[in-house]
Order: sequence, then C-alpha cells, then structure tokens
Amino acid sequence: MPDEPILENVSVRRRMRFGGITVMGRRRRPSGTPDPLPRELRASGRAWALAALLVIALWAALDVWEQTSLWWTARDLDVLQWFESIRSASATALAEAGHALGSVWTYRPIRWAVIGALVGFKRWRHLIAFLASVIGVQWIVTTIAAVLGRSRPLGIDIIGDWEGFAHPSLPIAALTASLVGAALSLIPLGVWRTRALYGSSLAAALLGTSRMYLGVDHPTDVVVGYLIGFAVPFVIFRLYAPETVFPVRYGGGNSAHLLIAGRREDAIRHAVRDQLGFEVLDIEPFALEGSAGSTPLLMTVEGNPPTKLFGKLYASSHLRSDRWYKMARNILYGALEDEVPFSSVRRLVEYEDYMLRFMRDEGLATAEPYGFVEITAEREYVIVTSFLDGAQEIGDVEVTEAIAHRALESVHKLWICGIAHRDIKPSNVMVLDGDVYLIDNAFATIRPSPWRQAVDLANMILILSTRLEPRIVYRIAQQYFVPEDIAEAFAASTSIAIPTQLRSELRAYRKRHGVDLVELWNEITPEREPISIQRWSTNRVTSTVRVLLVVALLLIVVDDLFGGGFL
Amino acid sequence: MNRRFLFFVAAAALLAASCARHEFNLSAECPRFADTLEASEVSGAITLMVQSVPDATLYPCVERLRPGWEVERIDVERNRSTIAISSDRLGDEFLRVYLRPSCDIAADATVYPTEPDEAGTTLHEDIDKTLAGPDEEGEYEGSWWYEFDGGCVRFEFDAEGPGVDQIADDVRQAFTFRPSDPVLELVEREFGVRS
Repeated sequence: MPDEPILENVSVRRRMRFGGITVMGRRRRPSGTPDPLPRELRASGRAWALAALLVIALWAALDVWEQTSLWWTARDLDVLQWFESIRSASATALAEAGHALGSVWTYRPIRWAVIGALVGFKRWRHLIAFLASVIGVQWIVTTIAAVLGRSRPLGIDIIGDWEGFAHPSLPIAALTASLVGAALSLIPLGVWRTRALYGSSLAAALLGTSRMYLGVDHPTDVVVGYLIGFAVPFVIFRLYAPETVFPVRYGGGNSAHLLIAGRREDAIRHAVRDQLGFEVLDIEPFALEGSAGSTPLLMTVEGNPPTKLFGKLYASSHLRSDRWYKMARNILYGALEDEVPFSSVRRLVEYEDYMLRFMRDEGLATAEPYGFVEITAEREYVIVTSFLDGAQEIGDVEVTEAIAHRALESVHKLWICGIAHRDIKPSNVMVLDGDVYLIDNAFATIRPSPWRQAVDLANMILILSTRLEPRIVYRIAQQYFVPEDIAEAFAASTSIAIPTQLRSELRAYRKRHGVDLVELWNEITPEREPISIQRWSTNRVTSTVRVLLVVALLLIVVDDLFGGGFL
Repeated sequence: MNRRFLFFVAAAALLAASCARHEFNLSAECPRFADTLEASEVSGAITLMVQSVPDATLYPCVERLRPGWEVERIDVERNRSTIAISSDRLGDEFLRVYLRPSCDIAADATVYPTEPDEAGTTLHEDIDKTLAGPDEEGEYEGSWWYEFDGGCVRFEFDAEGPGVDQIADDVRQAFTFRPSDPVLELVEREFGVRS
C-alpha cells in the first residue's frame, strides 16, 4: 500500500457556517513570512539608503587612500575650470541670484513655516521627523566636513561667498532637507508630493550649478550634499512616520484615527481571514467621533446573510497618547490609584480581550468577543467583537424607568463581580431592545479600589439624571444601592473623575435648567466628606521631576538650535 | 576571528581615525616648521584660513596656549577667519583673532614696535586696561591690529579677571604669524594647482 501523507489536508481551507457567520479555516503564519502590514522601506527608501551607503563608502575611501582624494579633486577641478572658462557678467549675476537659495534666509523661513504648520495641525510625529531630519542632516554634514577637512576649490578664482569646509556642501544639504522634509510632512501622497520632490531636486540643482559656477563648491560637494539632504529625511520619514501608518491628510478626521484604505485595509482583511477565520467583505470606519483612543471599524463578514462585526484598530500611537494622558493626569491631579500605562499595544488588546471575556463569563451585558488579530507585530492590532446592530447610545434614546433600571443594575453587577468600568460616559452606554450594554472596556479593572467603583456609580447616575427626573433616578438607584453607597459615589465624584463628554452634558444641563446636578445629588444624599484624590506618591514625584528635566533639556536644545543656526 | 568581529574592529579603527582627523582639522596649531611643510602638519582649518584671504602674505596660528586657555571655535569664511579663545579665569571668548584682507584701525590707536616673529607687520594698539596683582581682578579691553601685505590680523580683547596683567605677554606667546606661501606651495605640490 503506498504511503499517504497523514497531514495532507492540514493547511487546506475549509468553510463552515455557525449561526449565519461563515468561518474559514484559520492559518498559522509560517516562520519567515512577513506580518500582514510589514513596516518596510520600500523600493525608493532602499534606493536612498543604498545611495547613503555609497556616499559613506566614498568618504571612507577618501579618508583612507590619498590617491582617491587626488583623483576626485582632479576630476572636480576639470569641471570647475570649464565653468570658470564660460564666466560672463550676465551669467555671474544669474549665478549670484541662484546662490541666494543656499542662504539661511531662504531655508530658515521654510523650516519655521513647516514647524508652524505642523504645530497648527497638531501633527507631532511629522514634526519630530522633520526636526530630526534637518538637525540630523546638519550634524552629519558638519561632522563629516570636519573629518575630511576638504578645502575650497584650489586654483579656481572663487567669486562667491562661502563658509567652512567644502565637502559635503552644507547649503545644498540644508536646502534639500528643508524642502524634502516639507514635502513629506505637509503634502499628501500623490502627484503634488511627487512634483514637490522634483521641485526640491530642481532647487538643489540650481543652487549647485550656481555654486560650481562661482567656484565655491566642487561637483562632488554638491552631489553628496544633495544625496544627504534627500536621503536622510526620506529614510527618517519612512521609518518613523511611514505613509501607511501616519498619512498626511487634511479635512476632517481625528489625528488619532488611522486611515483605513489601501495596504492597511488589505492587511486587516488578510489578518481577520487567516487569524480568526472570517472572510471580510467590507470595512469602514465607524463612529469615529465617539473614540479618540483607537480607530473603530464596522466590518461586514461573509455569511448568510452577511454579518456585521465591530473592530477597534489599536496602534502604538494610541498607546503613546494613553501614556501621555495618564502621565499628565498623574502630575496634575495626583495618583489615581492604578493609572499604570500599558507597556505595549499587544498588552492593551490582550487586556481588553480578556476583560470582554471575563465580563461575558460573569453574565454582564457587553459585546461578544471574537479575539484579536495582529496587523504589524507589536505595533498594530485589531480587536474584534460582535456588532450591537441597532443599538443606540443612551443619549440618542428616550430614557425610560426600565432603561434606568437596566443601567443601574449593570453598575450593581459590576460591583458584585468586583469590576470597575472606569470610563462610563454616554457614548459607552448602549441601549438595544431595552437592554443596556457597557462597551469600550479597555480601561476596566478587576478588584478595583472602592473609590473607582463609587465613581462608576456617580457617572451612571449623572448620565441618567440629565435625561430623567433626578428624584426618579434616586428612587430606582435605592433598589440596587443603599443611600450611603450613593453618598459615597458623589463624595468621590470630583470633576477629574467625570469624563469630558459627561462634563459638557452637565454644563449644558446647568445652562438649560439652572441646576448643578453634582451639587443636587450631594444635597439629596446623606452627608459625606468629599474623598480627596490629591494623593502624593513616589510615582507622581518622579513623573513631575522627569517632565521638568525633559523641559529643561528641550530649552537647552532649542537654545542650541538658535545659536547653532539649525533653524 | 569571525567576519563580524573583523567588521567591528575595522569600524572602530575607522571611527578612531575619524575622531583624530576631526580634532586635527579643527585645530589652528602652527605647522612644526615655517618653510618646509608636510600635508600631515597643516590642518584643514589652516589651509582654509589661507584660502579665506588669498592675498594675505601671513596667517595667525596657535603656538602654545597657556594652561586654562582653549580654542573655543574657528570660523572660516570668504574674506574673514576667526579664532576665538576662552579662559577659565578671563572668561568665554575673551580673545578673538581675526584675519581679514584689510584693517579698520581705530583713529586713536598708537603704533608700537613689533616682536621678532612679527617681522614685516605694523602693530597698532587701542587698549583700555585696569591692571592689578596676579590674583586680583583687572580688565583688558580693546584691540591690536597687525597690518601686513595683503591682510590684517586683529586681536580683539574683552578680558576680565585675575591674571589680566599677564595677558599681553601670554597672547604674544600663544600666537605667532606664519607665511602663507608655503601652505600654497604645499597645495600646488599635492594637487598640481596653484590657489
């Protein structure tokens, strides 16, 4: 009998249907294959990196073998002697005009304009990439220039202004880096960016020709200055602010939301198919206005009929925002007990997935978790849950006593299960067929401090009070909590503990009815001393000292930048 | 020894050589001899200085700085070179030495005799000084101008602190003038061109 492979069909896809959803065979990603959305330099980035390597090799050769230097200089001087031979009054006037492109009064205004625009658009990552590009180029050029110590063209009548060593040409590199950095950070990917990059090269060519005509730079100084000025920003932007992850775009959209199109959309489709087994038919951003910490997605997956799933795309940018937010709160308001930031995006999604599963196991009404998928290892993940089709935010429905019962019952269940949601606000309380669902559980915690649980109750009561008579809410609340619990909730509820969305609703309520709901609830509940959250901790002290040190360091760097002529 | 180790050794050697070249090229130290020069003795900054004022027959360079003094920066551009000196006792950039194509001498400057190593120059001085004992505070402000064929070297002082009474002698010991021609001849020899 011929031998048949026992594992013949292991990797073959199979289709099955469960409850209307078509499930494909999941596939393990074999070793060595890339992530669905790998972070890569791409062909042009690799070409520039190769150009940079060639330049480094040239420098090494110039430094080690004297003959290389002599040979290059002889070829350079041949070209410069030709330029010298064609000098005329009108050509010199033109060259002097072109030479002005390399003045600090040309590239400094460009740099300040770019910085101003990036600050205005709050595009911090692009701002850092831009600053790193112009400062990096300046540093590389001045360092290499001092190492090689190349003099200005010898035997040539120099008729233009110059400063410092000749190779590489600093004005060429500075102008090119400024223009390329501006194009990569401000102009959306497309034909206009391509034109801007060609324009940058043209400006560098004009300046370079002028400088060679005036006898200021050798041709190799110009070419190497241009290569550095172009390659450094290109590689920095490709690695630190890649277009696929941090696209340049204008008009609408939160900067926290990632663009769901092109390679990322394909990557999400592949990842959901291979890692969870769902064939995605359509992906679209969903309810972006309610989320600043992730990019919410509505996915339609194959089934009979096609079924909707909810996804949230988390990226390292979201993680960093979360860290900054928590650090700022820690410094401004003291230790809020367990405000420890997540160490990685993977930990964040793992935690949210776990919380969803825990809450489901405890019988709490929340979205059904389906797991999460990896888009780019340690950088981007999508968590997938059921979509509460037809559910509305509590602010968009008429809140009845029955809904208030469900809402307060859900907080009561959280208390019983030893959970705090920690982000109870109108956009996270959904109503579907009279039931109340708590969503967005990334900040929920198990075995929280009593203070945290009390804040959850206060926030839910405040949400209901803006939509239902507070006396009625109080009556219903007393069916789940004793008055002392409710008093504790409002003793714990200071403005910092109330989410921004709810705070603005409370302000609107006060404007409309002339009633401060927090004060009202403090009056109608038993008297209780406010619970202080201004607690000093080692963490708060070290965070404050760290921030002060960083600010001092930044001031020194900025001072150096002004003094050093980078900007 | 594997290839990676060799690569790191080569990279470290290149880095060390680069650091040494970096320091050397940014130095304004005088070549060992005034007339017969070797390429390895003339720093990039000195060559560039000679290029910055091509008609100057002399250029200033550092012979021997007294302890506590250091070259703060060397800026070389067309028609102007600057060597700035700082001191732990007399302040940051208490002395700036400029090489320029011509002198802009103060009207009330006085002509003084020059030292042997300053032959071929004319010295003009315009100094305000308050001298004191070796460890007492004093001030030395103003300029010396050395005029010579094709150029001028100005020593601009803004010194305050103990030790000011010695400053004139210390600066004369620290700096000297060297002829530009040997540097140009070296360039001609190396590259077959005349700057």
